[in-house]
Amino acid sequence: MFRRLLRLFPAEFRGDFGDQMTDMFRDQHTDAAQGGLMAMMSLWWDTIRGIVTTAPREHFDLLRGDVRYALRNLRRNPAFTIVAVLALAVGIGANTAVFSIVNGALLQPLPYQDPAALVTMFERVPDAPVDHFEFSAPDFEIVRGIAQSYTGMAAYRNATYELSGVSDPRRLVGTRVSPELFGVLGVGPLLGRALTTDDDRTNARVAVLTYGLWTSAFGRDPAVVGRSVLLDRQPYTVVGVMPARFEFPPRGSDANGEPAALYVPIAFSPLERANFGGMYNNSVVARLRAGVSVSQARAELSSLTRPLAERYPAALQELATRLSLPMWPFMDEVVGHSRRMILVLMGAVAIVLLIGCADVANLMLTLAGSRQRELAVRSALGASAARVVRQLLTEGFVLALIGGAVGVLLAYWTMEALLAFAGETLPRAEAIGFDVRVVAFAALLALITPLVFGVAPALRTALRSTFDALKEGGRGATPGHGRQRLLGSLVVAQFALALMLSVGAGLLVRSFVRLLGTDPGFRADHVVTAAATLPAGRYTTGAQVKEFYQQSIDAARAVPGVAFAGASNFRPLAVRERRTFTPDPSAPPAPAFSRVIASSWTAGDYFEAMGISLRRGRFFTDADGLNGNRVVIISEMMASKVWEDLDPVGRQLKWGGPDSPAPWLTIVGVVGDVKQGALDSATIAQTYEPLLQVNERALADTIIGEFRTVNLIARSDRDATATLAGLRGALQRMDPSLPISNAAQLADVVSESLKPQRFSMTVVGLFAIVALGLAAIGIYGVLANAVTQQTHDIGVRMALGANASDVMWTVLRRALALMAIGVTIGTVGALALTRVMAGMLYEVRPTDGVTFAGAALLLAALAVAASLIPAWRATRVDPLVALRSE
Amino acid sequence: MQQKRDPLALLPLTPAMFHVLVALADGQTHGYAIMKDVEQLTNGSVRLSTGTLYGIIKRLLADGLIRESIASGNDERRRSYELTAFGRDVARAEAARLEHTLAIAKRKTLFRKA
Repeated sequence: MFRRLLRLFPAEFRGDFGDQMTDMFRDQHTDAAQGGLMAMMSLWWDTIRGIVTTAPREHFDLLRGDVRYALRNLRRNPAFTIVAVLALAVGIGANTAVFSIVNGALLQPLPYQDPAALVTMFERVPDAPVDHFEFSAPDFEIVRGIAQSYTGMAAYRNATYELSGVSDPRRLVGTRVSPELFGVLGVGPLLGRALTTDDDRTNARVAVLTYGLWTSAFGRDPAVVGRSVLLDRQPYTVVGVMPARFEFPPRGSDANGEPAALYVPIAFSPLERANFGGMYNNSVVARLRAGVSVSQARAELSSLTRPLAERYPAALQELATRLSLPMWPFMDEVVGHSRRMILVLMGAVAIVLLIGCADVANLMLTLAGSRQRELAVRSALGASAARVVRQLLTEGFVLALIGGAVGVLLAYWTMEALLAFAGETLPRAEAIGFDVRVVAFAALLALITPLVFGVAPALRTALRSTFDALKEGGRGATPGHGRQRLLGSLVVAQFALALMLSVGAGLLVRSFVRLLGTDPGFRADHVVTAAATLPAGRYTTGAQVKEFYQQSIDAARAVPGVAFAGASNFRPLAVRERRTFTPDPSAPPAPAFSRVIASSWTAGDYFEAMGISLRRGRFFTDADGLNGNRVVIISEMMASKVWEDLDPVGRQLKWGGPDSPAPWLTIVGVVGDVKQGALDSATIAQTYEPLLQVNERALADTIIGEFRTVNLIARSDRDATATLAGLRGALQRMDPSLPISNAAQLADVVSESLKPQRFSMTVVGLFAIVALGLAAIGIYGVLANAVTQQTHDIGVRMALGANASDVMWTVLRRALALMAIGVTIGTVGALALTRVMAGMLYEVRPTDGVTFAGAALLLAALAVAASLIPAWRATRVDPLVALRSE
Repeated sequence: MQQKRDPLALLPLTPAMFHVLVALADGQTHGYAIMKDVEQLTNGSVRLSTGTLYGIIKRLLADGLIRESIASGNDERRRSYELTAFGRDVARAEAARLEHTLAIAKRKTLFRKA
């Protein structure tokens, strides 16, 4: 019993005093036995208390000694120390940086009350070109009216507003929200009040500011509540300011996924309320009633599709009966798209750290070889095996702590760089940063890594008996085969891991190259674009909007060097409008819901400026849309889908179902297919209409504001910067206070659409390069050490007539053998791991043979490169010197 | 070399350390005896547990205040300890320090016995 208590002391202390203490306790015990039960109990109590309080101090003393000893050792081997610390710092730093993203984006709860009870819901129609879409106003109001599972349900939709009357006019994102939103999120205003149902009912011109806007535009003026500002040049009253932590909508969801600077009432207009079967653009967030699970709410929602369909007008019943209402947790919507990418990044850095650990283990083993005698002496002087393990592990911890400290610095910079580079492609980018949890993660890594890299060398060293060491110590020659095998297997592991990461990076690169080669359907070179959104307060009528389109195109044409200028209501690669149409009876019949297409409106020489090719018929002329003769141009995909082999030019279509009162539009041309979204998105059928034939009421509309943004496009053979400046100047002369947005070269717009892919490719690629570098250090270190250790053998062989290439081949063969085993294991691992990347790849399979072969070749080249110096050194061994040192 | 070490550098000692040194002042003795001695000298107010005692012994050994005595008497198994010359100096210095402290305290009325 007493002996067991003594185990609390360090082994060394126990060895020195254990026997005496036991003896003494026995004496005490004998005395106490005469004193009766009380004396016995008090003896045990004193003894236990004494041991429990003194043992930690003994451990600490020992630790202090070990740390001092470890530091001295590290100082004595600066090359080892620097390489090991750097390898660990890079590994821990990369992991910590990526963890800061995991922490901010995936782990932190959304900044709302009880965010786990928040859900979002959508509408869905089978065979539609999109999997799901947002709610229309009538659908939202019907569902909100009858659903029982929620304490509140709010709709919201992002828009942009020109803020003026405070500072320089600027365009910012504002969210139109149901007044219930703040209650649903459970966050109240810091100053003033939130929006009310009265605000919503009366469409009051009131706004709630975010803390950020309050700071940047109003200098945190406490008297801001009640102040009047201009939004799109209409007066609004500031009624409240939200607290600093509040952010909505969170960055990340597909639609309405950009944080707003202010909130205004959504105030559905009568037109919106009556628009069944269209304007599906309101996101929904709802709070589940306590005790209601997501699946219960989901079941209720699916039972609501029937009452919803019954409210649809008869003409749309075909569509209405096919509607379903999917829903999922709000958090999934925000981070769901990026979760895979973030986890792949985490996997990549984990591999980097493991390879780094293998490096350090290799170095420690190598170093242990040269320290064998020192350790043997220590053992001979009475240090137990456990003591030596303890000492070596302490060295490992000291290394890891230094590496971890450097790593945290690296991590901070890496995180800043990642955030700067990733921009808006990361969900909840605003929530990503360093906090206690991130630093704790780094500390945890620093505590775990020594166990990964330190245990093998420590055990290996300790288990070798003093006898072994002294026996072979004579000339510090060939280390035991056991250690060479251990070193070899570490290198194999490094190669296997490096291969997996290289394959992952390679797949992303291949996929990215594919994306770059994708034809967007237009020619982006020599084209620039700039946009202006016409504020409702100044451009109130459709005629004014129309006039602005025409005048700005004329002004763009006058810019020197501009060959073609046109405009569209959508930015290239951002065509958001989806509509259903009915073709004339010459087309084969098909259900209406499968006839959802993209549509956009153009003015001027839009097609010529964009470089969209004409397949049949003609482009628009300035006369189109003016004489009541309504025309439309359709894409190639639409022509073949709807009219199959027939020539569609001259045929007609109209918006809506067969009973729709919309006028017939005559097809005048067929153009090549153009991407509606980012290059990796699927192209769908599309129509183009002259903007000038849109009725004035629709042009003046501010609810969706679909036509209020003029996206100018100009093709010029002059310098793009000069053309952009010219375009800017032309717009500014027309309305000096109009903010100009999205001024860019079209090629940059295309490249911007690849940002998420470029981000993951570059980051995983960089981590792969780091991993390869660390693996190269590993193989180099092992081979260099082997050559040094075998100088004697090599000398003998050379003396016996072996030539340089034989010697070199011996070294290379070992490198290549290790590489081959590593690559084989790595290939199996990569096949298993890259499967999770399938969703991130564009037209590349996760098992892509070219990538696997390429990665293997790369590693072979690396193995050869890393072994060249040791191999060359081996050939330089002078047999005489080698043998003389005997 | 040990003679040159300054005993004052180790002061003040913890009370337990000092008592152990005092217990050893009469000559070599072993662990259990030290413990009982200390208990007696302090009328039972200081009771060292085995862990505490050997922690102190380890430190006193490391600092060279005591050493294992070579002539270990009739009981071979039992290791005894004795003061080194340096240990004696340190104990004396500590006693002097305590006396001095006490003298200062006694000059104050508050500490005078009524």
